[in-house]
Amino acid sequence: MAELITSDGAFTENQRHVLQVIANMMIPASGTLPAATDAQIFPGILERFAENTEATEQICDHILTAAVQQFDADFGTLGEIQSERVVNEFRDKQPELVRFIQICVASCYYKDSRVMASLGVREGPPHPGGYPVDRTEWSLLEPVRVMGKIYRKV
Amino acid sequence: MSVKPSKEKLVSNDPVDVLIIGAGASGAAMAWSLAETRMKILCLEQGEWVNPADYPTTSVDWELKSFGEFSYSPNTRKRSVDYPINEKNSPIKVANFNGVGGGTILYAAHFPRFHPSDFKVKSLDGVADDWPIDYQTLEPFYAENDQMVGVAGLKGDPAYPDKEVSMSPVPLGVLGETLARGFNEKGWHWWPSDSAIATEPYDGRDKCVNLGPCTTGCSQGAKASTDITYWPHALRAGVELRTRCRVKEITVDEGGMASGVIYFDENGHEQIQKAEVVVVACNGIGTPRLLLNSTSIAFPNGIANSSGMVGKNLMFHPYGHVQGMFDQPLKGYQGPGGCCIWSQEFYETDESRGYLRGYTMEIFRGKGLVSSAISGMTAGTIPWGKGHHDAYLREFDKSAGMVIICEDLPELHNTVTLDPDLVDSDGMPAPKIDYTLSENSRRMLDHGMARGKEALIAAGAYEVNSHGPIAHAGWHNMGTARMGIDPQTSVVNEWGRSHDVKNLFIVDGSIFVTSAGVNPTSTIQALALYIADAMKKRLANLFD
Ligand SMILES: Cc1cc2nc3c(=O)[nH]c(=O)nc-3n(C[C@H](O)[C@H](O)[C@H](O)COP(=O)(O)OP(=O)(O)OC[C@H]3O[C@@H](n4cnc5c(N)ncnc54)[C@H](O)[C@@H]3O)c2cc1C
Ligand code: SF4
Repeated sequence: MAELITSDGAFTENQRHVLQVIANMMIPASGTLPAATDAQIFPGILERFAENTEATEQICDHILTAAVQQFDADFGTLGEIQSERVVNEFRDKQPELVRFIQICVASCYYKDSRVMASLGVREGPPHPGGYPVDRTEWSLLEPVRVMGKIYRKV
Repeated sequence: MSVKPSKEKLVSNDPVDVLIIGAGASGAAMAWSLAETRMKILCLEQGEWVNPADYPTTSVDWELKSFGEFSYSPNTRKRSVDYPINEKNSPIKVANFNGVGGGTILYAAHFPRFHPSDFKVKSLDGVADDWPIDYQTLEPFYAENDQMVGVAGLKGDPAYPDKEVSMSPVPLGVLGETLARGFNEKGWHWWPSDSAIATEPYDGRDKCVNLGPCTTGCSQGAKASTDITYWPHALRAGVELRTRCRVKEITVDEGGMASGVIYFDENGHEQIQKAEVVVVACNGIGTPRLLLNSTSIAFPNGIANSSGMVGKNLMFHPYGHVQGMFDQPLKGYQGPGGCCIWSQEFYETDESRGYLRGYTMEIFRGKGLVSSAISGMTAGTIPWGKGHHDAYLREFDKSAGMVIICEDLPELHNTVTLDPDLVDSDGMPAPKIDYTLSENSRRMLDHGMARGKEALIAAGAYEVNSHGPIAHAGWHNMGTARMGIDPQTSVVNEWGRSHDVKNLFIVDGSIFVTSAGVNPTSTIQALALYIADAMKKRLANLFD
């Protein structure tokens, strides 16, 4: 928990709100699947953002400034449609920062045990473990074997 | 900034017979081969040993680590042992790893050889140059290297002269068999990839357990990175490997012979290392960088550079990416990620296609959970918002694809130079890349991506997309200190010795004359073994 408090503390309330809106816009809850803002997932996402405060501050500055420019209002006071408009314009203009956001959100969301289970993927790191893969049916190669050599003679 | 002692106070080490710079694919092979001479051999490597337990796949955050500290890009990784690269002026960005094993730590272990025609490009197609050696010359060294590395494959590939394999091929899985049927449907060549992956226990290495992400480092020890293939043997045979030693310059004596090097140690202090023979194995970017940084009165434009060819003719392999969506799960995350099957249907030149030379289609397996989400969102196929989960479920484990690896031809204007401003953590100038994609490569890429789409559709894909060149795919760095008979137009002779400096050898990908349309490492290592063999045969008159 100590870590979560640290990364939480890395951002102002406004910044946290911006990141929360973005995460929820990207992956909202659906059916039994949680949203990226789920209480067990979002603190991890904040930690990711906190690892690159420079990029995160740029993102928040862009969004907070755009809200004022477009609606003459604080981002936190905007309705859903307005805040989505601000974020979508930002997405069009800042592909590198958007990639960073996607990495922060997706890397935490897709390691959540509920999400992994829903996709039928074994929880935990790939190693040790691995997967048995069925033996290959080499008769598939028959049409290629009859081709004869295809490399150029020199 | 580290405080460095003045030149007079440099620490001087005991001289050695042979000094190898770089402990990657070629440096390791060279060290092992020369070890039997019982000469005093030292290798200086700027990076460190990597502990397999630290590879990303031992952690739940493995995909995240592969975007950061284990990224292919030194500019993203930014470890102190990395050097930055100014690649703003290149659509293809460099991928490498700096440490014991070099690029083989992260490589996919796809292990094709060159073809006989690849050594005769000028005679056959009237472009670029012929190599001063041919396939037959390298054949025994390919075989020796395959033995050391352990190559999984299947004998009888009609795209190659006959060759042995060390063990059974990597399994194709549902994904590979699905695509193989597509190639059969088209009547095109395909074959299980030669892979530097142990499918059976091999030379003390455990067998592959089909984890998938080989390109983040193999924690299982099944993938043949040189830290676990050549190096243990070379060290046992008496070679010394000193890590965290970044060579700054190769020094010369009054006679114009290489006298050794000056390197930065772990603490940023400069040290002198004298040697009778210097072998450079720093890869197609690191080697020209070091040679250009080694200036002296005898070599004002960089050592071994009287031809002006050091840093010129940089070749990457322009890569195309073709991906198809299928209705059924393909279990693509199971099995070595980069090695499955290849097709060389369009490998040899056919002028009616509108370009010269050719390419290999290499099938890759599926992506991890996070990469699937990120690549889908980047491509716009997985939206943000309401449709995210549905689109993700539609895509995850139901995509399959291939890369098109195109032969790049040497062009003088594609260069590695020293950046005037950018420096590494020791203050050594960083390399700067200037590269443009040629019209021939553009056409080849387009042809390959179109054929790739056809193959995927024949395999049952309901939707296919493609793009190229892939930006972050500059993992094959070649041509920047080319081999040749003529000292006016090449840097090293036909057995790897510098034309200008008779005790200086270069053994990495920079000596390639042309790039072929296949991954280079098996040829890089075969060349290193061949050059080592040439040196051993000439020990008595090596400098004549
Ligand atoms: C992600 C990825 C995937 C790849 N997949 C494949 C594949 O499937 N098949 C294939 O054939 N190839 C692949 N490659 C390429 C392969 O790794 C390289 O072709 C190969 O490693 C090059 O060998 P080399 O000896 O030329 O250089 P490297 O292996 O790069 O070794 C050079 C070494 O020199 C050291 N060095 C550089 N400068 C200095 C200095 N000044 N002082 C001291 N040390 C120095 C570096 O730290 C490095 O360890 C891949 C590479 C990457 C990054
Ligand atoms: S798939 Fe095999 S070679 Fe690749 S990382 Fe896993 S165990 Fe290693």
